[in-house]
Amino acid sequence: MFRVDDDAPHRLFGRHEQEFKGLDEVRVDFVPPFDEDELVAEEEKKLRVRFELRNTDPAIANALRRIMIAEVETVAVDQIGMMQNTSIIPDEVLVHRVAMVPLAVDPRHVRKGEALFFELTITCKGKPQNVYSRDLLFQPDESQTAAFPDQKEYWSKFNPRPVHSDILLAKLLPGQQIHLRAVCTVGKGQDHAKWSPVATATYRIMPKVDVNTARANGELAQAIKQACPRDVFDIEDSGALVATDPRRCTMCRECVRLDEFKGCVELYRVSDHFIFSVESVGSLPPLEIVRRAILVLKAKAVAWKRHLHSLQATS
Amino acid sequence: MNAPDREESVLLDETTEVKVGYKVDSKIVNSADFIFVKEDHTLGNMMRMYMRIALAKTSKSHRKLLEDATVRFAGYRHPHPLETLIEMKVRTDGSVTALDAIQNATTNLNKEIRLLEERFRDARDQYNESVGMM
Repeated sequence: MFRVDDDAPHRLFGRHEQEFKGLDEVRVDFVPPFDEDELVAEEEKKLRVRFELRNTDPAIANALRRIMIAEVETVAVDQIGMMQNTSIIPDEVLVHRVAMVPLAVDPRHVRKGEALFFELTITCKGKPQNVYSRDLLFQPDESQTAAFPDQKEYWSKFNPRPVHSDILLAKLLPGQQIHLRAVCTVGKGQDHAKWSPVATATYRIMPKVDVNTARANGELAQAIKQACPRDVFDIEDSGALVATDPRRCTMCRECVRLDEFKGCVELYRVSDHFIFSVESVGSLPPLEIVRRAILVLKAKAVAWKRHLHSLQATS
Repeated sequence: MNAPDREESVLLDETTEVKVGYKVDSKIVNSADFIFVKEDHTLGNMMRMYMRIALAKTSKSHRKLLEDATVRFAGYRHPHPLETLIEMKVRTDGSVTALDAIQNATTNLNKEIRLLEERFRDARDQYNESVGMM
């Protein structure tokens, strides 16, 4: 546990004695959403997950976060064949826009060596027209029929499509035309961000708010409660201050900043308690991303054990 | 035109590269350098942390993490942003070799990750159940 000083948030006040917990103590808990999540649309809530990881090392928490961002596989557009583009948006810009569209395809369904093809064929007639991601249509490919003769039938049950149908890709005037063919492959975020399955994957360290009830009561308690912009505190019947919801604390230090608040509240970080927040772009459910990240982490650790243990044999 | 292949920074070229390099440092006693090719902070930091932690079995069911007294120094660096490799330096007190220490660390790391996977699975099942009930 670290104490956070009142005037220097970047400087940790010193490490408080904290015994390493037993390895058996690693804990994962799913936590209910915070109040501000109420502002998020129902649809988007399905793309988020919050969980807490306790009694482990920051290295593990950070590895998990990095893997979610960069090493969990997804499917994205890799190459584009541009047959026709007479719109005002240049080829390279259009290609980039198309490539960033998240695809609702589970990479585990893609067989080894298989590529998925999407086509966008649109000619503007009559009035000016918008091109949206829904115009990208899955096309089972003939050039792969030898390797995957059942591609059409196989993929019909998974229905490959863009996650969002209304992403604006281009605008066309009458007579303008776009015709392109996109080759989609399995990849990782460390290659290009378009393969990253998460919009955000972050963790924060659990805040701990200690109240000195002997000092913080009566009017002073009221003032501290008022000062907190995150509603961390409440007043007990006795008039004493209590920290009811330390998870909401952002370490803004409003409760310790003023001279008259000195000695009332102490802020700490619990250095082995991580609050994760994962938001999927939609190609995979968020819980599945976390699960696969743990599997990647495990595979990495196993591979490293093998690599390092084989070192002895050779040297 | 002359840009390196994107995959080059991620995938190990098995014809020319070796995943782990290991060299005993002749200038400092009981120390060795390791090079992890095509790895980044994800692994580097984990390995460094676990080098500093030893696993002691205090009873049958309870394992405990302790500061590893046999490891005097464990540090890593990522020497150049365009080269995806990690250099790691390990120094021990002489009772074990640096190689033994790093092997022990990976064993501990494996154990903890396996446990994490288990705990995550349990928590997820519980969570899915509670969501299903609502």
